[in-house]
Amino acid sequence: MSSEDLNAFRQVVLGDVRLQMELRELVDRDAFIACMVQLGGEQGFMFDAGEVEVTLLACRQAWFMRWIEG
Amino acid sequence: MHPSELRGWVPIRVYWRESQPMVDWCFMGMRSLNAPFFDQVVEGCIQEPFNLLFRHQTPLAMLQEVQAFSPGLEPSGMIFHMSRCGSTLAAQLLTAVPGVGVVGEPRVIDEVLRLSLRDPGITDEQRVAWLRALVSVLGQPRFGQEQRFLVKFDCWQVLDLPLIRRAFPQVPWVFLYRDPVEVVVSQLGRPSGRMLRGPLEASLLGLGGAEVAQMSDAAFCAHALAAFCRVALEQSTDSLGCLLHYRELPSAVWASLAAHFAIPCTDADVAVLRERAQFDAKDRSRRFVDDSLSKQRVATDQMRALVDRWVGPWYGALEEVRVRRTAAVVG
Repeated sequence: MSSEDLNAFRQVVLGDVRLQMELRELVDRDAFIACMVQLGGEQGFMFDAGEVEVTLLACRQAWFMRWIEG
Repeated sequence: MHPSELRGWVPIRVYWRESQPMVDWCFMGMRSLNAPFFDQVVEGCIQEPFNLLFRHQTPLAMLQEVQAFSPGLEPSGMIFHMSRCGSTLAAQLLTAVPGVGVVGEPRVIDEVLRLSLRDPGITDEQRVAWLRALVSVLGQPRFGQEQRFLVKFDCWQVLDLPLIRRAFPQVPWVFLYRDPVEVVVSQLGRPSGRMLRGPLEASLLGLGGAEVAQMSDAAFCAHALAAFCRVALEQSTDSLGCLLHYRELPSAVWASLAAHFAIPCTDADVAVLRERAQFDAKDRSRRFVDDSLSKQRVATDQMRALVDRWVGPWYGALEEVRVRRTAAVVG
């Protein structure tokens, strides 16, 4: 499942400063998503740009909802 | 997880995951925290896709591990206030002195202070330890030139001043205030989220929820301001506490407040502060305008009566102490 691969790749990034540095520099959303797909693929994780986009939107909504959830 | 992995990461939120308090960390790298409000910095960071997708989530104890591994600056000063009284101006002016940083009303401090509301088993000692750890992490030098670090608290947190002083017993602090009529006019004209009347605020004032719900906005504001003044007055028993009236700004920042916080201020620094003081601390594109007279003009008899009844005695007592201390310094 691509969503599982994306979540697994996110955990890999959180433990890898080199990957973090490469992704942090990309503030442009499209460039960031493209880099995510590329780096994820290099690490053996298969997900596409659409999956990353959906996850970004979900994270943004979760951030907005944080005060309600407490 | 080792604390070294959090180099460049800043705690932005404390929240509950089931029964465990957790910390949400955001990478900020070399980003300055010196904005008028820390949460403005956070919102700016969260706009970046990396910070949306990648944030460390750790148990609260990691704050203490980071504190032990890489201690931050001990605060040089703490700024408390009654709201709408120049506290942002004072804090922002002091950051114009080289080497001085400030965190402005970080909500994450409030979240740590309120942990015991969710879990009454959390002791004051635990909150003191976590507060010290959080401030230490927020005060970590990030550019190498930081020498002094100030914490500006939210107006409600003056009610926690006794506990905060237990966390930082040797740190000088200031309470900024002004004619409470002007604060009530300001809050009613442009309400801040922090003056919303929720169950938390009612409990902090020692009032019942039903009682607060029936109050007018002006009455609630007056009760809050009275509580702020009362606690500040009760804590002003030694030289660590300084009382500063709005009308003394901005010159008091370089004339007395900097020295109170042991911040050296050269003539060149003072010139910079004088220049900056001409502009709105929250929006430097606008000139600062003293709005005291305009606020006094629009204050209603009801507002004045509420202030006289609830805040007047405490405000009067603060002024007595402040004037007496000023006279002692001049004399």
